Amino acid sequence: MSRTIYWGSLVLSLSFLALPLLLVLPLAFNTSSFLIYPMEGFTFRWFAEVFGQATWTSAIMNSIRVALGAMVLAVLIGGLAATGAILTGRVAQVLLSALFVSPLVIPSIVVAVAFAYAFGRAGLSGSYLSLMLAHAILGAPLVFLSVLTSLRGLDPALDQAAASMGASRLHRFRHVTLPLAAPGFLAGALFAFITSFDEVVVALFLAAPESTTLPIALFAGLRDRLQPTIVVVALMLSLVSLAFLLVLGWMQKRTATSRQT
Amino acid sequence: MNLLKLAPFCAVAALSATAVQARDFTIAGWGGNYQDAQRAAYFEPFAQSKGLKFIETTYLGGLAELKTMAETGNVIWDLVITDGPTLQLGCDEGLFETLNWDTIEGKDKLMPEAIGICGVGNVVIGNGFAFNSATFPEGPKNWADFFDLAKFPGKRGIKNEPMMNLEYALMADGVPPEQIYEVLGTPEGVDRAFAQLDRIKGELQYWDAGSQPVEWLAADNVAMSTAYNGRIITAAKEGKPLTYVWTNQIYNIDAWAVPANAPFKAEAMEFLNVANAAENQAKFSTLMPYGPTNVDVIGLLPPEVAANLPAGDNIKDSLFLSDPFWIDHKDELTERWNNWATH
Amino acid sequence: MSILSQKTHGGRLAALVLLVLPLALYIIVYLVPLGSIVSLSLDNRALSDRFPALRVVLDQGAEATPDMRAAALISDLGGLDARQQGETARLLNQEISGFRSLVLETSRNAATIPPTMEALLAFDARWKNAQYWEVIARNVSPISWRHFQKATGLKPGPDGSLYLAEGDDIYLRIMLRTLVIALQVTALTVLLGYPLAYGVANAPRRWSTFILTVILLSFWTSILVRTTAWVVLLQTNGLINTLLIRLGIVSEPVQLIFNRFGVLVAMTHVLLPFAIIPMMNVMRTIPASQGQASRSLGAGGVETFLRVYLPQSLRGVVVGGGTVFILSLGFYVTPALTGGPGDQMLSWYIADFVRRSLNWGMASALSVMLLGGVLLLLTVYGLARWLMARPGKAA
Repeated sequence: MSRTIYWGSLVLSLSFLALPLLLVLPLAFNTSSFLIYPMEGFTFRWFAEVFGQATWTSAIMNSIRVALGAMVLAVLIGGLAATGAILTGRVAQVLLSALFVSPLVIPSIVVAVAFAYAFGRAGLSGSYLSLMLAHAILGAPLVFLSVLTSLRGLDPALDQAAASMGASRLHRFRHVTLPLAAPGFLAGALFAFITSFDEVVVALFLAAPESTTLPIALFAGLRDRLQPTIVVVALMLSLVSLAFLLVLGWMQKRTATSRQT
Repeated sequence: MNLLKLAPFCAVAALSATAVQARDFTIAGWGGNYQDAQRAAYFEPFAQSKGLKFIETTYLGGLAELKTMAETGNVIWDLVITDGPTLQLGCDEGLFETLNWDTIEGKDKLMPEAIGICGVGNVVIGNGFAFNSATFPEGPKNWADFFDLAKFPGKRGIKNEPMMNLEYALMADGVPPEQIYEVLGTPEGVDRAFAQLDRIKGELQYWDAGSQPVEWLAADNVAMSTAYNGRIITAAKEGKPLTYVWTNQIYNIDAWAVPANAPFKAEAMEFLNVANAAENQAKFSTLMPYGPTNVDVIGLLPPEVAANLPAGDNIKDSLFLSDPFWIDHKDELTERWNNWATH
Repeated sequence: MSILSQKTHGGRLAALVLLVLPLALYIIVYLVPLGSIVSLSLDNRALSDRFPALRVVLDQGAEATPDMRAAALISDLGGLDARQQGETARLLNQEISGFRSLVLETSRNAATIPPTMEALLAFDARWKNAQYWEVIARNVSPISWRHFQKATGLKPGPDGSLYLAEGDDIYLRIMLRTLVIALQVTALTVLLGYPLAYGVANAPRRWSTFILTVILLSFWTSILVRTTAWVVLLQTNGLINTLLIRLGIVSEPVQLIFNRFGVLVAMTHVLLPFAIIPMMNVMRTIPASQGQASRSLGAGGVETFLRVYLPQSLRGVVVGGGTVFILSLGFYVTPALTGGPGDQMLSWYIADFVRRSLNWGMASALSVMLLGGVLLLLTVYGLARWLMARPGKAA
């Protein structure tokens, strides 16, 4: 009896979590322009349509551009902040963490209104720079956390070994600590990229028609007209997330094995 | 670490893309088919005759971008098409250039509603309702039918804002078009409009993009919906069984305006002559079923095209949307609308 | 702790050098904009700066004669350039409909009106209406609570005390709705997430890896993509309705989207991983031997679960539920796409004020209230976690 309840609820919850995407995404290949089953046939027509429309292609390019810029800035901000924070005392570290992680918990609409107003005043509204800066602030907490975690996990013995061989503090930091913390930086960079690539609310307030990103185009498309091209874009965004997860998993595995040996 | 070497490179590449460049003549429009038709009817002939290069961008409505341009002094548009209330508000705040009508050609041929201090009315848009003729062979005829669930059961699509819906409601309640704003100017009139809306509230589905009513009607998600005439007529031409009701529709006018201190101000003023020319407006209305502001155009069009436009007989019992009324009352009535819609 | 945290003088200096850039950027790009939202919600200089003479006159209280007020008003309005006239008129019209045309006409003709009340009333009798004067009097000082008053529906009465006017509680009701939706979503995510978290922690390894993969994939798939899936599924002629009709459960399509049902389903789906992960982390620390011990003492499976497992996993439920609750308070995209006007949360109205009516004051005031609520909850939540984590307390 209790097992039935357990397995029943497990399967129910799992289906709820997984089925919507599993059901909807294949419709990107359906020949019919109606988004229902049974599928009439298999086609790449809607992909061709997405890649043939300037609204979608320019949005894809904008998204990549903004996400790359935001990633670089976020790694810079979050990485420096984490390496700096770990050198400070306990109280300072707690305060710095609270500050650098706060963009994760503040409602994005509030951040969006603040950015839109401030960047508008600075004459940056609609520019790629404003989007990159805003997304960098949203991505920096994830870089901060992953770098901080990897720095905390470092084996002090390695640093001491380098010191005993006469390496200077700076030298040790560059050649011993940083390479060891590299997975933290890399994971952080990935987090920052995907955060920017998927972000909607802040971009809605900052993007001009020329700098529209893919999620904004998808949001507008959803309100405009439900058609298979929408599902194609959703599928592409999911694939980016999947690739991201695979890379992350692969990195974790590699770090784990290199630590063991 | 490769990533660290890559970083500065990416940053430079990214930042250089944002650098400000000297630009071409820039026109901001509403996008979509509307702007495609404008390109063929106005932009290209104008650019050719002047030997000018132009670029286009999309205008999202409202004053936000125009205020930023005025405040920062970086005026990135030379010409924009906008709706009446925005034009009036922007004009009052000095965001648009004041026009010198003595130098603009074709003034005597324009509808009086098209002549503004800062804008030249160019496109007449019909706002009414449509239904699926497959669902209602003996279709609804007027606003009273739209608000009558007993006679025509089924869901109704309306735009999620008070503008026009309150007018429709009063017309359904028997107020003649010419008295609408007089009635709506009183608290009792507003109550009366909301009371009408209450009758269909349970069946309402709200749209915010102009393509939604077409989708919903074609898929039979709603029985009737308010809509722009252009969208419905275009869909009907594509073979969808949609019928637009012209009776007591509301028409409003989109106008060209020049943002204050636009670098290509002189060229933009010359564009206005091209926009007023009857043959160009006729071409636009052939491509896009919206009406001309030049009164000569209807005579130039084939009757089957003219029959689909908010012009001539189609607007004889129409109401012209009052910009002054909505500029004064929008904040208050939007709040009441939100309050009503969420209860 | 890494040796990097040695508290030597050199360490402090290095920390400072490293922190300069990120701190500077955070302050300029993030904290200052957030602060500007707070000041924007109170800042009334766009109006108060336009009435310097009238402010002086009104400060004199009862000594100010009607003629003095009229003269000050005419001189203030006459001193505005075209742009200021437009802006002043628009801002004042936010308070009373129709004020706009009165202000514009008076200021455009100020030069022709003699500076007396009689002349002002002769120019436009609407100035007789005390309401207009009250609105201006409220707006002559550089700081104004008018946006917060509107947001809460509380208005200052004639005697200075606050009262809640009939029908003005729209934003209070929206805040209440936001809370209710957030609570409902929290309950649903915890209920649906608990078995999954339990599965990851206790199922055979192969199963638990599979479940975990599904959870993580869902977690990292964009919120917008998952919302898109629901929009497609819940359509009137969408997958679910076609299925229901084909199975003969309903005869015509049911309304599943643009209502509360759509919002709750989509938000629950989107936020489910945020509830699962903390619960899972706590459950993983509960030793399986405890359950075995309980069973060996004769307790049944259900009894063991209720008396041994559930109490220990509650900490995860609180953390997971708390995370979902706080996140859902600020939701915008999902309800905007799946709800009707009666299902929108506070964020929607904030966005609407900025995008549709350019009313930064109201957008900021509502933002400040949302932000304040979230920060307050975070503090409570942080305290609760700290209390629960204190050794000795759990025993």
